[in-house]
Amino acid sequence: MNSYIITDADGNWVNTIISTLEFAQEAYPNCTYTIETTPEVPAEAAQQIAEQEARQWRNTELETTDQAAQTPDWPNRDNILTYRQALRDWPSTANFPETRPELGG
Amino acid sequence: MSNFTDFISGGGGGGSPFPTMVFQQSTTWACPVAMEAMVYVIGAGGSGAFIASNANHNAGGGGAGGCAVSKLTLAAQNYTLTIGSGGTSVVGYNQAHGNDGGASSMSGSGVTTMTANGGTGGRWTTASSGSGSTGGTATGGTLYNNTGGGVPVNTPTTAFSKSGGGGVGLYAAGQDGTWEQGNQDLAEGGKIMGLSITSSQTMSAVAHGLIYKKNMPVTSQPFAGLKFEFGYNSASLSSPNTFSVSSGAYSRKSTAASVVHILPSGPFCGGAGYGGSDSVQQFAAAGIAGGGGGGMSQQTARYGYSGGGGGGIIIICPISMGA
Repeated sequence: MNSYIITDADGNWVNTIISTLEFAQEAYPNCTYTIETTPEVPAEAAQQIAEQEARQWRNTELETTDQAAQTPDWPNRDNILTYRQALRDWPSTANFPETRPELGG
Repeated sequence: MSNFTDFISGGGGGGSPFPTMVFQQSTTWACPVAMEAMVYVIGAGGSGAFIASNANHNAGGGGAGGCAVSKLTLAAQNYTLTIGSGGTSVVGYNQAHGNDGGASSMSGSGVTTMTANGGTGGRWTTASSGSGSTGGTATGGTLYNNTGGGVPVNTPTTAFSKSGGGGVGLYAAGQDGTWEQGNQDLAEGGKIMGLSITSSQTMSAVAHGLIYKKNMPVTSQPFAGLKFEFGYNSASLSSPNTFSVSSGAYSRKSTAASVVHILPSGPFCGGAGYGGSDSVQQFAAAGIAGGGGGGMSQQTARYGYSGGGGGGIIIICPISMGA
């Protein structure tokens, strides 16, 4: 079952209905029947979404490593500090937002 | 973003021993037995408009579908039920008008054809060029032929001006969607009766049952057993994430992950509009069962979806069955 956009021979919109193709053809003979499609996300928006999600992930990573950064004897602390700096620098690098920084050690 | 799955279930109730029949897809219906019935034919709602601008622009909601109501004597024969499709949500980066909803109809030998036209799509407009959306008209109803609620013309005085969609008129002309110009506020859709909640309550408050607002509206059920359910899925939500509303307008703002979206209202109501300076994706609410979708108004170079129009619906409520 799809949504069919029904147009007459002159291309004028007649109706958009939820039906099978057979029903649409019988109810509106001699028309054109086009399956309505979901609107696509614009390319700019897709990039925007990827950047938003990347920033959110980065912020979460910074939050979860905050205690380690403030605790001198925390295990693997040096790598964590390096990782946190990489997180802060990430948005200004060519790797943003595709390639996420990784924690070493 | 969330995954919505929705369905409307019919069922007997209100003292009637007969099941309410609900159609949301076009079909040739073989009426199994002669019956007297109340028949509601409702057109589809238009979708809301989208605007991304820091200027004083409007994003209007879509109009609701018309509603034809008849008390009919149906024979054990075939009837053609056509269901209009709701106006498709507008996804944008600049501006776009909403899409019109389709018409629903019921026809068959011995009955006057009932037709309920779809509502028009919402309009995006500037401060100096206003136009609203209109609800669908209806013909052929022997009791009612109610026009759906629309959205009146508005002159915006701030950015982020938006409106909800129109509501279906079950008992009279449908209620219009209302305008809201506040940043990050909801704009109410048209309702079928009663009050509504329009707040900035977050998903966490809902999830934990913290319904604390005074003057909570009473939920009304125009058709017993008919309800709307949807699921909300997000990696950032643990529980619970299923919602059910039977009527009224219960749109509310929810934030989860990197999106802001508005929960749908009840059946026949217009979806709430939304707009503001959020830096993340935004989603206005869809209309349900003929309601118009909400408008989406956000800042320049931001992306989001307007609310889709509610699909048309035909409801047959038997009063008596058999010869």
